[in-house]
Amino acid sequence: MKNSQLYKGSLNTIIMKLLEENGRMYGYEITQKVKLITKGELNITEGALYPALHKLEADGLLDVEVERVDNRLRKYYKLTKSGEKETVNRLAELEEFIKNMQTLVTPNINPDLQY
Amino acid sequence: MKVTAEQIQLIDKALIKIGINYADIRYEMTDHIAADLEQKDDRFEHHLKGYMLQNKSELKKTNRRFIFIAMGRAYKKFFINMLKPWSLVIFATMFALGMFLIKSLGREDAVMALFYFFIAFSCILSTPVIYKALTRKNQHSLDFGFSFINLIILYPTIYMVDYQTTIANDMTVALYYAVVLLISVIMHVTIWQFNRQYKLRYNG
Repeated sequence: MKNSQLYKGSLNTIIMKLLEENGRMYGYEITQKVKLITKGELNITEGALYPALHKLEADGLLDVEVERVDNRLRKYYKLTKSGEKETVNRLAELEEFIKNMQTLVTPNINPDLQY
Repeated sequence: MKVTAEQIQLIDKALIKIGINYADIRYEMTDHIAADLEQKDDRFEHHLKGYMLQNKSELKKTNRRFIFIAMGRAYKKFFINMLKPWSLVIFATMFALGMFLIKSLGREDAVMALFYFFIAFSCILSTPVIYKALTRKNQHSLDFGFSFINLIILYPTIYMVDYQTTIANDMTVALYYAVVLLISVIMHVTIWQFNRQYKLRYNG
C-alpha cells in the first residue's frame, strides 16, 4: 500500500465500501479490485489488508465463509448487519473529511461545486 | 496456470518454513499466494521462491499481527464467558466445595486436595492443546493467547500450598481456589468453543 497515513486511515472504509458493492470477496480479490479501480495507483499489501480484515471481523463488522476452491480453502468476507450500518456512517464521515480537506487545501474553490 | 494440490502443499510448507505455524493463518496466506502465482507463467517453483524472498518479512509481520488480533478475540470471549450466569454457578460450586473440604479434612489436607484437583484438571484438559503444540498440527492462532493463562495461574497456585498457612481466614483460601478453578474452567470452555468454530469453518 502507498506509504501514506491518509490511505492507511481509510483502508477499513475502502474494504467495507467494496464489500458493500460486491457482496462477498476474498483477500486477493480485494487487492486486485483496488488496483483496477485506482488504475494501479493504490496497491494494498497483504500486510495491511489481512490484519484490517481480521480486525473488522473481530469487531463484528464482517462475517466469514470458507469454501474449497481449486484445491485450497478460500476465506470470503461479507458485511454483517452492523457492518452495513457502519459502512454508511464511515462513508459519510470520509466524504465529509474529503470535503473539508478540499476546502483547506484549495480554499478558493467552493467545495459544494465539486459534487 | 492453475495451481495443483501438490503445489498448494509446497506453498504451505514454504510458509511453515518461515515460521507461520498456525493453520488458520496459513489457509488464508496460501490462497493469496496461489491466486497471485496463478497470474504468472508455468514456472511455479521459480515464482514461489521469488514471492517468498520478496515478501518474507511482510508475511512474518502479518503473522504477528494476526496472532495479536486473535489474542484480543480470545481474551474478549474469555471475559464474556466470565460474565455468563453459569460462571457464577461454577464459582459458587467451587467455593462451596472448598469450604466443605476445609471443614471436613482440615485446611492443609484440603489445600493439597484442591491443588491436585487443579493440576489433574488442567493436565487432562490441556492435553489436546499440548499435543497440537508438540506435533504442530492443526494449531490455530487463538491457541497462543491461552497458553499464558495457565502459566499465570499455575505459579501462584504452587506458592499458595505453603502460603495458606499464614492466612488466618478459611474463606480466603476457599475463595482463591474457587477463582483459580473458575479461570481454568472458563479458559477450557472458551478453547472448546473456538475449536468447534474452527472445525465448522475449515472442515465443513
